[in-house]
Amino acid sequence: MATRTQKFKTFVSEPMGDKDVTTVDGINDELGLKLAAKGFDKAYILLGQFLLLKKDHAVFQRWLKGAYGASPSQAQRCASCLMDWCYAFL
Amino acid sequence: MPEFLADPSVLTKEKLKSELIANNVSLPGGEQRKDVYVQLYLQHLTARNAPAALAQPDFSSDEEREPTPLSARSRGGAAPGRKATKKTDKPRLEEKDDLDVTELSNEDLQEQLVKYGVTPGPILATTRKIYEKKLQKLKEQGPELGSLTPLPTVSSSAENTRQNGNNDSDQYSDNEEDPKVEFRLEKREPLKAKTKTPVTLKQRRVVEHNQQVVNRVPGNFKHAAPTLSISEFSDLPRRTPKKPLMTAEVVEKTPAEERRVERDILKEMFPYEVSTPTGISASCRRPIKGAAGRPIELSDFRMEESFSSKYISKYVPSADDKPEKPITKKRSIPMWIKILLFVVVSVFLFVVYQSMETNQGNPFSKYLGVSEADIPTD
Repeated sequence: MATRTQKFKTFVSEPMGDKDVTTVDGINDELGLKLAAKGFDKAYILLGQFLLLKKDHAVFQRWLKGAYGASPSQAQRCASCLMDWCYAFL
Repeated sequence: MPEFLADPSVLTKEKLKSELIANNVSLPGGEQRKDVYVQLYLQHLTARNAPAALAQPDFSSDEEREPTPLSARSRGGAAPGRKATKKTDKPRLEEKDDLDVTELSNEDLQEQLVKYGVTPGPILATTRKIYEKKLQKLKEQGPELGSLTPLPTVSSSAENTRQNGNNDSDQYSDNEEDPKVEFRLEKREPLKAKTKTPVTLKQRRVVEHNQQVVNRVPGNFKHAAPTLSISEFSDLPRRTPKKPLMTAEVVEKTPAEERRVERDILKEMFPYEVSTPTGISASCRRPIKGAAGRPIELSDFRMEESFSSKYISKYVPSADDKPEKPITKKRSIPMWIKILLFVVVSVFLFVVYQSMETNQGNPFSKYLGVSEADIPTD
């Protein structure tokens, strides 16, 4: 896999708790604001959506791209970040 | 139709930015002054508030957004009327043409909920129904604060409350509501207030939380909570003979109220205690007598008498001295006893040393020799 960014490592290294959604790898400020406007202001809510989609990478990416205008790379990074977090803590 | 503020400068810059982004307004690059965002907000969003009345220069950019809410409204069937009455909040509150919450869009539903102080999570297909029900319940309690519409609201709210398992409040609240209702009238009577407040408080927990808002509004005792309204209307004629009824209620409720009376007494006895839901609160532990120089009581001395009979005489005067000076400063007494104890211990050591020592030679060799000799003997 590609080398992980520091943001990724930070997120996956500990339980997300009440962290903001922008702390998820792949979610920049703009995307974070869009998500927050729709109610996804915390990382765990985004995780909830990911889990609802049965941790399916592709579906989650499609959802993120379609509803919030995320770029493919953003969506991919986000999905893999959440997936790794689930491996570690779920 | 989303309602945007007429004075966006009350919002923070971050909030302004997020609102703008949420409504697909492109932000200028980099960090701008708040004024810039305020202007953008006013231009794009406040314009949408009342597009018919205000002529905005950027109307063209709003066109994408305009049809969507309009079409949403037309489905509700009350769209045409709303446009003209959109300017102020009052008509909104009164009309609320989105009585059919299912017709609301996700965003509108979210905003309606926010108006009631609820911050909903994302409204998606899975969560939508829940939020719709919540909004419906909130709305039915909201309008009742302002107007008397007992029957229809009771029926509809009864349905909603049953959803949340509040049937009990309807069933057994008939008797208990009387003191609650009448108590609002009698707020100025402190005696009865004391006994009644916990009753009402407990009942308020039983009834929905939202009704607390109603209960605390003093002038609105007539427009009481929906679940109580049926029983209350039957109780209205009984309100006039307040006092005898109150006393009768007191007698009836004695066993149930005793606990609450006790709680009140407890509160009076310990006014500084923090009232917690479990009634448990930790307080500073009282200092242990005899530790760290605190005054020692007689009982402590009795324990130490077992050491040796020699010290009884010493302890007795010290114990006698103690009651003689109870009023003196607390620090002086323990210091005094400390010195005494020190003297006692030193005398003890001296006596031991004396009994062990026979010849005054090399003290160290003597210690070694004596200690070796002592061990088998002991």
